[in-house]
Amino acid sequence: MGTKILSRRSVLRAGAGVSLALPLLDAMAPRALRNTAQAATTKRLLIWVQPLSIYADVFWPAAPGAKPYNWRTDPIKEVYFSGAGGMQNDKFELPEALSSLSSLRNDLTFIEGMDNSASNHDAYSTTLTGTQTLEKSPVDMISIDQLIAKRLAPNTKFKSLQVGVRNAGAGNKSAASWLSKTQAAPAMDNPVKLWERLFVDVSADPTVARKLRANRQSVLDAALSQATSLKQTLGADDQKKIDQYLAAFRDVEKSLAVDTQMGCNPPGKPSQTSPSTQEVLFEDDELRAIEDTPYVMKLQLDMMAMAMACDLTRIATMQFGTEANNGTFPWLGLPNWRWHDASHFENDSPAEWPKQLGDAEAWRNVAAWSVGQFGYVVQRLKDLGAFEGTVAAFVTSMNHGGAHKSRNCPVLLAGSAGGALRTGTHVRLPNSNNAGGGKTRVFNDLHLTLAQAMGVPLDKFGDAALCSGPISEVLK
Amino acid sequence: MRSRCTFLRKTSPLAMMTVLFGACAARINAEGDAPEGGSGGSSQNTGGTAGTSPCSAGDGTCSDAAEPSVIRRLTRSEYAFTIADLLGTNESVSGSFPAEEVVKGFNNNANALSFPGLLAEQSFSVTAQLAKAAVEKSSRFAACAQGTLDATCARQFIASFGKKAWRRPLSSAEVDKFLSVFTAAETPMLGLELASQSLLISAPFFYRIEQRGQGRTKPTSWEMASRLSYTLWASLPDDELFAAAEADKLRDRDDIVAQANRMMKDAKLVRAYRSYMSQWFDLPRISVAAKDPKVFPMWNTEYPALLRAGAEAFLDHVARQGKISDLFTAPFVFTNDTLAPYYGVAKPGSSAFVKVDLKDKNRASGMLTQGGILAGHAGFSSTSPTFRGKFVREQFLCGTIPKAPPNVNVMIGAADPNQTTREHYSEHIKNPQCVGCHSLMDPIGFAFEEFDAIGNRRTVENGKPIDATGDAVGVDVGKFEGVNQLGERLASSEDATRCLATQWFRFSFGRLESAEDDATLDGLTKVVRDEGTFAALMMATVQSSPFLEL
Repeated sequence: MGTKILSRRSVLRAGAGVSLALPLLDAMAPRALRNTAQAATTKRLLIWVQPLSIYADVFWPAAPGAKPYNWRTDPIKEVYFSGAGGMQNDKFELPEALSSLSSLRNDLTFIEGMDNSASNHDAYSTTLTGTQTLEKSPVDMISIDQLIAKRLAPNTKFKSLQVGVRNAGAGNKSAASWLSKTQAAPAMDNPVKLWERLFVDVSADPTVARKLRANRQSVLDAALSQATSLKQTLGADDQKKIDQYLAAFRDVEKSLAVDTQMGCNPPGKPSQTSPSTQEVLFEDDELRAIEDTPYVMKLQLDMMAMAMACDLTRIATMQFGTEANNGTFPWLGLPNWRWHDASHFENDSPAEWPKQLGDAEAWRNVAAWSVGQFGYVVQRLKDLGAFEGTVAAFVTSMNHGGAHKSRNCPVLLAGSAGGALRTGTHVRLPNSNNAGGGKTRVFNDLHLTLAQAMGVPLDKFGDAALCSGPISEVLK
Repeated sequence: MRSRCTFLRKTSPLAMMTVLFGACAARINAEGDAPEGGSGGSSQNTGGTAGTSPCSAGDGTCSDAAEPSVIRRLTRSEYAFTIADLLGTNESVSGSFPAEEVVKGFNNNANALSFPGLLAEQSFSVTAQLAKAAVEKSSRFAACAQGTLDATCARQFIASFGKKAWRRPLSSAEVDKFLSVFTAAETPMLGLELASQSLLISAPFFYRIEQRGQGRTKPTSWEMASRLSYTLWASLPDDELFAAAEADKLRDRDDIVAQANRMMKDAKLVRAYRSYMSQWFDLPRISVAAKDPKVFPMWNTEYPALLRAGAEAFLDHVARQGKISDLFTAPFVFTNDTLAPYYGVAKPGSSAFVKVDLKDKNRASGMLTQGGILAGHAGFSSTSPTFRGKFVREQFLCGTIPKAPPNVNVMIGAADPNQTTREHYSEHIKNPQCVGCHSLMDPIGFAFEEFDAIGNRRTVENGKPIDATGDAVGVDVGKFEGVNQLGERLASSEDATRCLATQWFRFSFGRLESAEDDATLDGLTKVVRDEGTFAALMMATVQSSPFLEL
């Protein structure tokens, strides 16, 4: 029995060896060595996707010589800055709302003057794809995190990791990571499930783990072999469906082949109990009590950072909320302030904002908290010695939720990706908001920049017509 | 793939509507091109563009393209029902699976359903546990003598368990393949477990595989058993269907009809129509309805859950024993004691939801005048003629409203406290960037203005009398005043009737309709019109040619 199965398996091994000569050696090196000598050069990418806009006035550092914006006393400004742009300020001061990032100040890069490629209801799902709407995207649409993961093809257990908080339940509108136009890489909201996915094997006894792996391989062998034979009997359209199935389970198979016995310290399994209600924390993918958001956020970020530090993955996204998320923020004193509803201000025209000062404080608090959480995961990566080669990006899908506008969306980077990016600076791009009459820069260029920093230089990404090239002001 | 435009050349009411919506999308794409004269926009839509094919715009407006028929992947709920019926377990096994792609409101479009890596991973880990349950129940599948779990017994188990899980017999080569998993394991018990897991992660478990080609025109009895069971029960065939398939007794229409008649009486029928109704009426939307406590101090945050439960009970009633027209004209709701104050009726003395006739003659339009639909399709503090009109246009008239184009300011400026919502929304009709699509939505939504954002009836807004006249352009619904008249029109409209048949077609066949389905839709439309019950619609579906033929 099993000759066919064995030969298929050895083909898989041979294939991996041929295409990944260096990473294979890398995988065989003692884990301790990898963690020290190699850590410095390992490139990692983390992207935080924020929906429903950030209160831009409290986000950008003041231009040199300008008075810092005071949200308590200053009127809310026009949401798009009107300056001609073309500025680089290494001496910027962090805005008040972002003061939690002060220990990271020299690692930060603010990039002002970029538009999301899409706006309106597709903004979240196309933040990372560089296309205009899902419907009009080409079939081979792919998000930048997935493309970089595909090109780098690191020998890690997970090619990439999508983590969500309050993200599930909106179908395609929840998704920021895409393998193709028809295939999202969905995020996982439930921290208990995420822990099981990431760390259950890492926590197992080595002998047990080895046996477990052999059993799983055997289970997969029969199913994959059956599907391969089945595929031959089907028509072309059905074959494509089986190909999706095969690709998904081959990824499971590849993850088995990766050594998960490592010298890292997985966190303990999260409790299923809600700290605020003492009832069950999650029902499937649904967070039961909104008050638990900060607790769940911390669990998710701790696991993300540890998964990267343990080299379980090098590419990760945090998908916080969705464009349709209507949850409240009771821990910020906003028990009735619903995220999506609030983004549609009672009076949506920017000129009406000053009348909405109650809302201004709420938006300031949500911005401060969200960016603070981004700072937290960056700090975790630093503490775990996994920051040197890393770039973390905080991107917002919209600028003005009420108008569904995606012009000049707040973007913040942390880390240099191993010296590839300038840090400790505030860049305001020329031609922003067409002020200089030239071409406005779109997120496509941000993605080209991130790709280049990650060692995957690209000519174009997404909708080619939107690309101007990597942002030279940011690249070293 | 079939030509996208075939569908549009026809002059059926639906095709006319598609032309209209094509025009709407084309208008948006020609952003900045003002139509001649403000209110001329809608008449221009109806007459002006109907003769030309919107496909020539080359902008993807003909998005109702015929899709290839492809094998159907089980949805999360079908997966859970299948496991429950296979193993007798009763827990949520697919809760950690990723959500399905949604096409025109339904999550079971075979073409769109992909296989995300997370689904592979999560099902792999879930089946490790499920396989243990399978082995515990192994006596159901193989009669092995106590303590003699040898290869013969394992072979018997794999053939028998595999047949049920895959809804068809395994070939001997396939049995051998899974037997090798058993043989390679450390202990026979573990071997059985791993073989079970392998069967449960196999493609024939996840997909409803049908063999086409080689001149075949009809499903095999095995394939027909699954067609019946997944269409009517959202799960695998029961013992009787398995026996009929084994005896090859699911080829003739009479045999198929006899099975379907039997299945219609089974309690499992609710699985299919509940999932359908919930998606068609977008019931999850009711649960997240949030209202401004400053404007609506009488709004109770328990209402969304109660209104949803009441809607579910109502839809259960319509599907089981009511008439389809009840959806638009029923003068009753389902309520319990807690919800009764919302409808201003006496407590029925029940915590369960029971049928209560409403005395309010202005709230006699079935789902259309239920609180969940009215509040769910309104804003935080004010109504939304756009949301309400879009709901009617898309769900009951099968129109497609494209998303607002990128970087168009979708906001119509601040509301004037002396204006009615209707006056405020008239900006959509005045603005050339908005009118193309909004003329298809807002004028329908205006009829709902007699209900505020929480669904309470009103006759005055901001000191002005409510104007609830409405208009559904491009279809045979015409002009109406108030929701009751809209409901009556929808119940008698041929376009709406065909749309109801079309929505069910999309759900039950897991695909969008194409030109080739016209005759089938004609037939289903006739059943909705003449017989008017869901039972008749379901029975007509299993006798339609796309069901009986490959």
